[in-house]
Amino acid sequence: MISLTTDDLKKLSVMARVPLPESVEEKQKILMKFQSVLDFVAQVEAVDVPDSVPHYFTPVNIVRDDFLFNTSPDEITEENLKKMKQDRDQTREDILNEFPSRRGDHLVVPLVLNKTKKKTE
Amino acid sequence: MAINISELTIKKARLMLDNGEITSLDLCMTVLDEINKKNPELNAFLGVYDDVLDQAAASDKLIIQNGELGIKNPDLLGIPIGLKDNILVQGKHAGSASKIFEGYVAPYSSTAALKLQEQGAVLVGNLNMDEFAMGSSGETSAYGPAKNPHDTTRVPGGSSSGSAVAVAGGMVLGSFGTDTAGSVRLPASFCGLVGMYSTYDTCSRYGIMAMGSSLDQIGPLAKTVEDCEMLYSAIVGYDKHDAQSVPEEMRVCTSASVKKIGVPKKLLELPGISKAVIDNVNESVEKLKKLGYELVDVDLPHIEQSLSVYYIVMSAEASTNLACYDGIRYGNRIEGENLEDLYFKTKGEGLGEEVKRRMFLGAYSLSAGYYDAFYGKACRVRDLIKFEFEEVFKQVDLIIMPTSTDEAFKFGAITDPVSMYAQDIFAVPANIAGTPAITIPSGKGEHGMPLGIQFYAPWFGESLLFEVGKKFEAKNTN
Repeated sequence: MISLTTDDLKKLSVMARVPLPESVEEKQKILMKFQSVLDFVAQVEAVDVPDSVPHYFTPVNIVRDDFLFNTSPDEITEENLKKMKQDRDQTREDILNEFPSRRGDHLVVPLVLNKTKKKTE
Repeated sequence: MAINISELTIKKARLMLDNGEITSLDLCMTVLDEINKKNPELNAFLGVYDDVLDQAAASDKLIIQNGELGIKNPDLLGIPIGLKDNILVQGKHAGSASKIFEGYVAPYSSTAALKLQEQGAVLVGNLNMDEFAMGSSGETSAYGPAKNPHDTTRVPGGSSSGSAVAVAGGMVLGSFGTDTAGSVRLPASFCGLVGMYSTYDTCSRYGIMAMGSSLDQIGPLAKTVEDCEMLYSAIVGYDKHDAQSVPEEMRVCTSASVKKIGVPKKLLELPGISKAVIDNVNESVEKLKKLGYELVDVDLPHIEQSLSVYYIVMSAEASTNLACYDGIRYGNRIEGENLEDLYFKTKGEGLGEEVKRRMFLGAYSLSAGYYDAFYGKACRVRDLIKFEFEEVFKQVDLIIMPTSTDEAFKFGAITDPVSMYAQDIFAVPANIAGTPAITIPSGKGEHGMPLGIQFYAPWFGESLLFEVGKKFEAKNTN
């Protein structure tokens, strides 16, 4: 069971940008209710999920994994570096191509700021 | 001709409009009269649009024109419909029943509202709800709760409280709410209506103020299953504006028709379920047997974990979604000494207690050190619950269970948040697994308040729900 203090609550208040009341009694009331909610939801920790269960909702990275070149120096060859650069450029190009409008390597978006100024020019 | 909105179904109104017995203008004038008479007490509508009669007149023109051309009118042409306060209609107020949105006017329309307008439905106004759809009773609205028309000392259920009260109270013929954890089905059940959650992202979420993005769906509330189907058919479909909208070709159900219905008997052994509800399930099972269906026991071992999973996933998503209501990007600003102070003052004054609690929980479960134990684990248990549904739907075509643990309770009867959350125990598994589910009136509780029975179908099996729902409804009323 996780036991929260008013200091923990203050930290959450800062993270959520939601203020806490000034009075100690009010803070204590909020803490008690929040603690009961936390105890309730913490039940999930005890559930055993077999590995055979597919991942439908577990967050996964859908973007290309970043390359990390920390392998043996003999793998850092001209050929590997060239391939890496090609992959990176292709991913970048694929993303740019998905955008409705582009100018070179820049994405074209509707004008938001200084609209009036632009019109009068 | 006197029109009784409380008794009139959409189906019947459609026939009367097409036969020229009434006009949409007649219908909508009656609706406005009923709202004027009843809303001061029932508090279902937070606002009535100023162009209702113009919309009705335009619909009448189309009905006449279509009639002359011999074209079948769209189901909802000229039908007055209400929308929950979190569904955007361009140029109209929407505010999720929160003070932070007081005076906010939507700059664009939701796909659902646009579809309804294209089909000639008359959009009457915005309906009360729990603030930001966070509640199970309707009591967290910043504008006071809507009241159950069957007994005004009792809650109508939430969060789509006004959507249920407006239909059950005879103020509109149908309405739309949103369902993140039973927020359409619970109020429908408490108010004696039919309400539905469709397969996740078969109806567009574009233009609906988000709470839990992976759970939210817009859903219809109506007097009959047939009306519910008409409302659902008007808004269903792929939408390019909703990034998770399911392409039409992928909407394939594993069952073609209903033969076997599963009964998760162990679920009925959970504490806190009233005897009236258990009796009602048993009676409903008998009715289904008489209709020729085979009823079999099924086991969903982790379904009761759905609530814990829901409160972690929803609060994580809600704290992210609501972060933009800070007085800078959206929401009424309360000036402060600096930016941080402005944020705190804006949220402090603009948001209610339940919303703040869920934002704390979201911040907690997403924080470093707790992410894996809470959010990560909740997602994995969600995987398990969906997997168990998949396994059960290999054995049966539908699952039957109650909609609520009891009939509608008195205002103020539940003050502990966890007890309030428990009201959704039978509804929330559908949102967790993304399966469609419908609630249908099935009897009365100990105090004479309506009870609902719920059917779950496999993904994209909405037609199965309507098929069995209509037969059950007919059996139940005979």
